[in-house]
Amino acid sequence: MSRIVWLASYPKSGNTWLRVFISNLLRGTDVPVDINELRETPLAAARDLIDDTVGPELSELTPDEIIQARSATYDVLAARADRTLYFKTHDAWTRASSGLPLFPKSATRCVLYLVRNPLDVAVSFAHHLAAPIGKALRVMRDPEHDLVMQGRDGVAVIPQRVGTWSSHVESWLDSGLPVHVMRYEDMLERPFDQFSAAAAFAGLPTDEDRVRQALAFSAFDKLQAQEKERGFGEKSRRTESFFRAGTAGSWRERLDDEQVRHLIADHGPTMRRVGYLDEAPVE
Amino acid sequence: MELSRVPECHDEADVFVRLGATPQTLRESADRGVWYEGSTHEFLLEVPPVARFWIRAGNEITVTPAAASRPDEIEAFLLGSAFAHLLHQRGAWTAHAAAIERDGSAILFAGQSGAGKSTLVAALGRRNHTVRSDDLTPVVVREAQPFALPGLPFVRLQGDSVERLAAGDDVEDEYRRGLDKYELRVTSQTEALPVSRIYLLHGPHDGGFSLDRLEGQAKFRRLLQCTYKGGIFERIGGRSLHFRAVAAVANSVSVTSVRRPRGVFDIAGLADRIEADFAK
Repeated sequence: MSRIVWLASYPKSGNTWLRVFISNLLRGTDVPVDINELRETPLAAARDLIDDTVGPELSELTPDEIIQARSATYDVLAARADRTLYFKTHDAWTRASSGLPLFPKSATRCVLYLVRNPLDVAVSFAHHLAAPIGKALRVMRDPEHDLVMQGRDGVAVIPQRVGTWSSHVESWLDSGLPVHVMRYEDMLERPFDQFSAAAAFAGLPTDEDRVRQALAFSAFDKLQAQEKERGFGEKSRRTESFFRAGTAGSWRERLDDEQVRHLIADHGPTMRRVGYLDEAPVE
Repeated sequence: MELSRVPECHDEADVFVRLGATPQTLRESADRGVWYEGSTHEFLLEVPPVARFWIRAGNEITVTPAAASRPDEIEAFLLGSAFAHLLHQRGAWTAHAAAIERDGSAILFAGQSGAGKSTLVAALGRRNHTVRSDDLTPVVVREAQPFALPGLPFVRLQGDSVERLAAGDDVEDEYRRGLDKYELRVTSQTEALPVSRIYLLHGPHDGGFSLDRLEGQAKFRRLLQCTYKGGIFERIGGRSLHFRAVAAVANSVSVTSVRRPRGVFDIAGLADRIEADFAK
């Protein structure tokens, strides 16, 4: 019997960065992990992971039954495992109509929840969707937004119920699970401290050399170089690259005043809750 | 219980399906998942809102319907997941594949859910190929030659594929509430046909269309991944049976890996290329 650490976030919030770091930290070899072979940190919504554990064919189940099936799957996978599991997810923390949580406490060790200033998420999301900023703003306020992604080589991924940016953040913070929040901006500013603290919280190796090497292997320019050389299976087909800028604050150049006002109107309370409304929003 | 999707047959029955009591749990299980448990000769499958299926000795399925279930829903799981385990018990290879007939032999299109199997065979059916099965094609080996048994006489399509194929007039209602999936009826087949080729369909990728012949270990490994419920079958103790069945197929059938570009599913483009490859 073991348990699962959930690497959870709204899309475009640094989850892949954390995932690459953890894969490197766990493997602990002298060679960087291939970004297309992140076996240590699979997607919680990978179809084969669930299909081979449930029994009945998933494509015949309703969305509500799939939530129940996934919830029970995580219990079974945790029970079968002899070491801690690390699963990446963009799902909000939701429940089936029966009340059963998608990510049950019984299977959970803890949550590393990544959050990023939604003003920057909007810029990054627009790039990911290859759409105008306005489209990203609409997606970020859509309570029924499902993320449909295609894994590498056609590895099927079950649609993930993401919801709005605010409801995503609130759902995980109020899940009742042990949650360690990582802000993308802090990860950029003080990577060693932030990643070490996350590793300690999640029961990962924390010795300094190993953390520094895993961080070096997951540095932004290294990920960009890997993507340039071999591609990245999770890149949207509409864009040139997945690893785009990896910076904070680009909203100041890319959003106009009205877009900023809209985002704050939509997400103000949650932004305040996670510390994004301390700064002056617009010059 | 009336099975509306199964063609009538007057030969002696070799599988019995009964309504009746099923155990909550089995005395001996090699493995247990979320809604199943079992070994190579006995399997218990549960679909909570629909029914519990007890599958034994390759010739018997007992069904206990759930309280509010509908017969057509029970039938959908009986003929899909439950029959797949029965076929494992009978030593067949359950290819996660659709199939058509061409010149007296069967051509299989294997792939994961969402790879485009059903859409492709529905399109080929519209080009006058005989559709033999949709999601699950049982293959048995006789004197070193694999034969495909006929599947069920319908193809299950997502709503968007129904639109793309302009097949609206031929399809039945949504067959499970809440699923945007529809059944397209096809003529039922009764004969086993030798398998001549298998195409492995992959999800879309960054390049264009490609068809590549597979050989040796790669062919064997890729076929292993095309078994319907193969992971569960291996965990309940069927690993060596699984390897044997797949090796027999790999030894005598040509296997081609098929890739298609990302973007809108160009079903006509794929069907053109497959048909051109038939002639080779």
